[in-house]
Amino acid sequence: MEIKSIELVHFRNYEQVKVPFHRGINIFVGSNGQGKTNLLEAIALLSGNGSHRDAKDTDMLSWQKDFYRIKAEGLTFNHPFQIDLLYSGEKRKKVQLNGRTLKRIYDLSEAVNTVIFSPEDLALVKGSPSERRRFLDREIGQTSPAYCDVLQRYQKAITQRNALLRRIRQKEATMAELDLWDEQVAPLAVELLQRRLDSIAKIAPYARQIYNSLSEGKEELDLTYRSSFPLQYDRNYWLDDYKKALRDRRSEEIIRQVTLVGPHRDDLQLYINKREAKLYASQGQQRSIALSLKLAEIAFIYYFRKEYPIVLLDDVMSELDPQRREQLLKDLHRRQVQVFITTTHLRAFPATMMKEMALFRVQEGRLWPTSE
Amino acid sequence: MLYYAEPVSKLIEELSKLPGVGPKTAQRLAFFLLRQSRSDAVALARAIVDAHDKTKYCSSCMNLTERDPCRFCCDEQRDQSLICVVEDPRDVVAIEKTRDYHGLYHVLHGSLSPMEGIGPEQLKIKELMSRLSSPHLREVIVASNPTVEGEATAAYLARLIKPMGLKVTRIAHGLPVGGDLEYADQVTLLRALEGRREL
Repeated sequence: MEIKSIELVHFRNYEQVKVPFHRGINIFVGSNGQGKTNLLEAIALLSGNGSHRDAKDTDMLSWQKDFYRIKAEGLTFNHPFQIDLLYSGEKRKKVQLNGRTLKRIYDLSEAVNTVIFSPEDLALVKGSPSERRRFLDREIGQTSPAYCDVLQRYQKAITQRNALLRRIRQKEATMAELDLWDEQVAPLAVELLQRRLDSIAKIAPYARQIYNSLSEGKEELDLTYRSSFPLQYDRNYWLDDYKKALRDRRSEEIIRQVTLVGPHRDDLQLYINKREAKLYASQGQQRSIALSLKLAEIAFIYYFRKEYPIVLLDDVMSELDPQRREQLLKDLHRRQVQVFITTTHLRAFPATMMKEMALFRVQEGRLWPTSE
Repeated sequence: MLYYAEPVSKLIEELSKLPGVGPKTAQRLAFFLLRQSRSDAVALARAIVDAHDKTKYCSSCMNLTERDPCRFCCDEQRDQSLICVVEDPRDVVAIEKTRDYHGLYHVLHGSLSPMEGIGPEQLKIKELMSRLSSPHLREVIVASNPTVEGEATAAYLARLIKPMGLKVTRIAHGLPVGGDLEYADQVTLLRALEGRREL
């Protein structure tokens, strides 16, 4: 998988720019605030998961413009594709893949998958459960449009159910209506749960192995899914388990006016040597865990797709020591993964690899190839 | 809006209340209308007022109609054993276009959506229930949209109607007929796979 070129119009601080990329490692070098991360964000949008910074379209629009556009050409399994994303103030972007308008933006994952690793990912370990759910949803979603569909319907149903809880509290709706929405929510919740657990079973061994080698065999990483309600061993009972949990918590939910159980309240728990990483991991361990999860995500996507995703490394080279840095780049290079890296200093890169890379200087919303 | 003459600002303001029309489109529409002849403008204004004044809900099926009862409910040739329940008058038109459904209709005027304050009371469900005692009726077809809200509405209706001994069916969703599989979007194809049947 490869992006051959990208064109940005009125995107963040880019007025208009078109650049061809290297099929291997691409490095964007420049001082802070020049637009390096904006480029990675634009590339990440091509995989249809939304901004990795959780930005809204209005945030990504250049100042005082009324549309932004991202066009890209690339290859997947040696077949050319074109993507055209156009945001012009409506609720949703217009998305075309090979000239065909897509109803759902996540169908772009058919052409492009991205894995992004940025300093914010350190929050994966110590941050709130929502960070880890977002990691899971992004990872699974890219390999399965069905998952995205179920997730969206689930979120919609939960929003409706929460609105209903508020109305019940205000005596504007009845319990019979709540039964009805419980019936709508439950099968979606169980399907999400099953898909998440299946995915974790696949990704966990990768993450474990990668972490083990990063810690030079000294430490073990374990991933477990923590459901917000009790589950029996046999999956066939999960629908009943969830409905029971909703019944048990009903009065509390009406008082608090939110749905307290379900996949939107679950967590991915991380353990190092059987101790919970959220509580005990050092800075260095957090970094290694985050990196392991991201590298495992790459392997996970390859497992399903038999093609590597595009890897975006946002200002993380300085986070790694020189030896790991070189190891990581060599690894990606050997697997012929297309990589985009932002950095303030080229010092971070091993001299031996410079000839395998394309360098771009980024300054005030412009970029150009450079060789220094 | 202060930059436009007062009547123009007012027109823009009214137009921007339309669904899918933002301030910019509203301005464009307003200036288009101003360039039109006066008679065109009057024709448009009259059409809007007429549509309001001369239509009402059919007292039986709740569809929009000029005459009550509407032409579907009056038509004795239609199959009185079937009622097709839809969310919107536009859905009646869509189904009529098949020219192959000859039963009756019932328009709910929306779907269950607590976010918008729409519960069973806000939909034309009571009116539907009162029609179910007809001795000819055999089946109620629920053709609400395949959205979360449409499915909830369908489930609600099934729960109400089934105990009365009537057959309640839900329209299928899946592939567009005559389309190529390769052009179907992934989720539609997925649902079609889920709803596969034995040959």
